[in-house]
Amino acid sequence: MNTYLWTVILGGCLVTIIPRVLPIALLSRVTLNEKLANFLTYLPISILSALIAAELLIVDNHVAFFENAIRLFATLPTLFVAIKKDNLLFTVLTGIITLAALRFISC
Amino acid sequence: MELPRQYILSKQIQNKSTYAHFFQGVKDCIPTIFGYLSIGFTCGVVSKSCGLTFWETIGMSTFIYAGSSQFIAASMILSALSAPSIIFAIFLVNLRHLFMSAALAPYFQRNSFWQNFSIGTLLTDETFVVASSMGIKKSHLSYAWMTGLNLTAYLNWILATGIGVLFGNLIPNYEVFGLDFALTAMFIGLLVSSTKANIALRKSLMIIFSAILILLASTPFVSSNTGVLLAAIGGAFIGTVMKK
Repeated sequence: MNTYLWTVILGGCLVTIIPRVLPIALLSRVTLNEKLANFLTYLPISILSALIAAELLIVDNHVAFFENAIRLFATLPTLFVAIKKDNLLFTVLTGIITLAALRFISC
Repeated sequence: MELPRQYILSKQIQNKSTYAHFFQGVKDCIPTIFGYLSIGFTCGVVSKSCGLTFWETIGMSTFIYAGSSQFIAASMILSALSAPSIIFAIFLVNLRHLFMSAALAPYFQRNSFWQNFSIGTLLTDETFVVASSMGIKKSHLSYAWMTGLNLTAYLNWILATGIGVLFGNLIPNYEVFGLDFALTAMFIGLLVSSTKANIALRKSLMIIFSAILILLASTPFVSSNTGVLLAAIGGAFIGTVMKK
């Protein structure tokens, strides 16, 4: 058994569980003030935007529009389907199929 | 003493709805499965190429259960960096869950401490975004639903990384199938459905553009993980101070 690796795994377990558990376990016990409650309501939209932008516009820690052009193009039909139909599975499939088709055409 | 008939009936309804909620959670996890499969698979391939065995990779997926942290840990293990420095890197990469966990807290106020503890341990980016976009519409989420969602995502992740380790060399270039876009597409779908919920559209758009701008502006100076964290906090903060 590799002690070094299992130290990393169990240490990693501890440091990933703490930030996941503490806020939900403690904040759900108290009544939040209005400003904080609003902040928490806006967080998901903010986090999602940041994650999407990071996926689409950042390559190897620098901003890149052209290297990712094919993914940016695939975003358009995905966004269209997401706005028109409230069906997550359909949105995901649109994205996958569009990107596969664009790659097929471009190579 | 015989239990009143009404009590038994209500108990049955309650049990039935617990199952129904659980399976609804499993069902609501389906759109995340594609993204998880492709990233988990890649994670398995990368872990193996960094010298991890099958059980070590499964161990990471089971106990750490965090995509980007596992990628980074695997590459640091390959470079034989010290265990404390790897654990610290994992901590930093996963710090964003602090805010996700906080944002879900208001939807689970009726739960016991241990119920919320178990929800928190299996919280990931994907289950968070599914739960929060549901929470924005409903204002309260069921424990059984969240458990169904969390467990499905968890098992799928372990399975996907396991498949990656075992069969990674058999599948040549799976990117051709566009699967690497599944996660982004899902995030886009969830962002759109969240902005349709009870926040004014103008405010939502303001938050979205602020978050994107902060991310882009911070990219030359910090890692993209830190950038995402700053953008998330900044965007929500601007939404909070903005009038209407």
